[in-house]
Amino acid sequence: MEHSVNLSTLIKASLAAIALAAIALVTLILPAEYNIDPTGIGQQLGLTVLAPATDTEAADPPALRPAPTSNRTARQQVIEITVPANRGIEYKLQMARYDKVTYEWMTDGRALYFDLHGEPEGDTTGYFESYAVATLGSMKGSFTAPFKGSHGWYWKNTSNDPVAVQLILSGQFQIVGLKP
Amino acid sequence: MKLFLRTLLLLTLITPASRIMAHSDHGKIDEQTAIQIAGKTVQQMTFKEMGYGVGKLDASWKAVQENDIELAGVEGDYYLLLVTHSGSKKALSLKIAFSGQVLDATFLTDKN
Repeated sequence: MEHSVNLSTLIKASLAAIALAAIALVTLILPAEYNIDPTGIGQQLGLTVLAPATDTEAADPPALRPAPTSNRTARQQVIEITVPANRGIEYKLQMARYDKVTYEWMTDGRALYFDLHGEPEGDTTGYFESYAVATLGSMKGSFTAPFKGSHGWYWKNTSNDPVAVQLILSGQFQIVGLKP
Repeated sequence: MKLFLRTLLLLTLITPASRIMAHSDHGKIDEQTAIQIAGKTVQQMTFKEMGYGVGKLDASWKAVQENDIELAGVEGDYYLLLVTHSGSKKALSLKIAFSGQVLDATFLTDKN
């Protein structure tokens, strides 16, 4: 049994497929991949937050010195903290929902237990969400805040000597600093 | 009909789909990214010995800004970057692979 498709049907089907692909490209792929959103649908669907930094943002010269902590910033900041012997400390950033931070930290030698986590603003139940928990001497990564609140690291030093940590940050955040 | 199908096939083959597919770009870093990595690496080298053979940089290197870093060349599969620090009058050369990995750091001639 032979199937035959006439040429006009094939052309119509092809044109329909091309039209659908073009719609997907403009409404979904371009907003998510390149932050190009001529229709505004990408923003409504939250796709534009997935796009990497634009060339303009990348060309923005990052300051390597710590900037004033009162400003939300996309610039690089370098922070050095000491975790006292047999104690834990918490270093936090204030972030809005969907703010993104790229980080890299390392100790001056010894591995530390850490919990990278976030706490929703205004929550009084003690709830927190952990993004990474491990015992390491260094770590590099990024995270997007799932909710507005304070986000950051708890490092615990179980040794009898203080351990220094260098933390390098860039992205959208406001430094809260060491939490008592 | 055959001509139409061949045209469609040709269009499909030459369309640069990789440009619009997610996660298609894990390749070569650009020059600006290399400069940012160099800046971050200098900061890390002020914190501790990073194993590049030049030891820990003194704290004055923390003042290095991005405009103190220039791309000196592209050789083989790495960028060669020059970091100058007016305070110490020294220059540090960094080799950064196209993957972003720091390969080597060397002090250049002392400008004293």
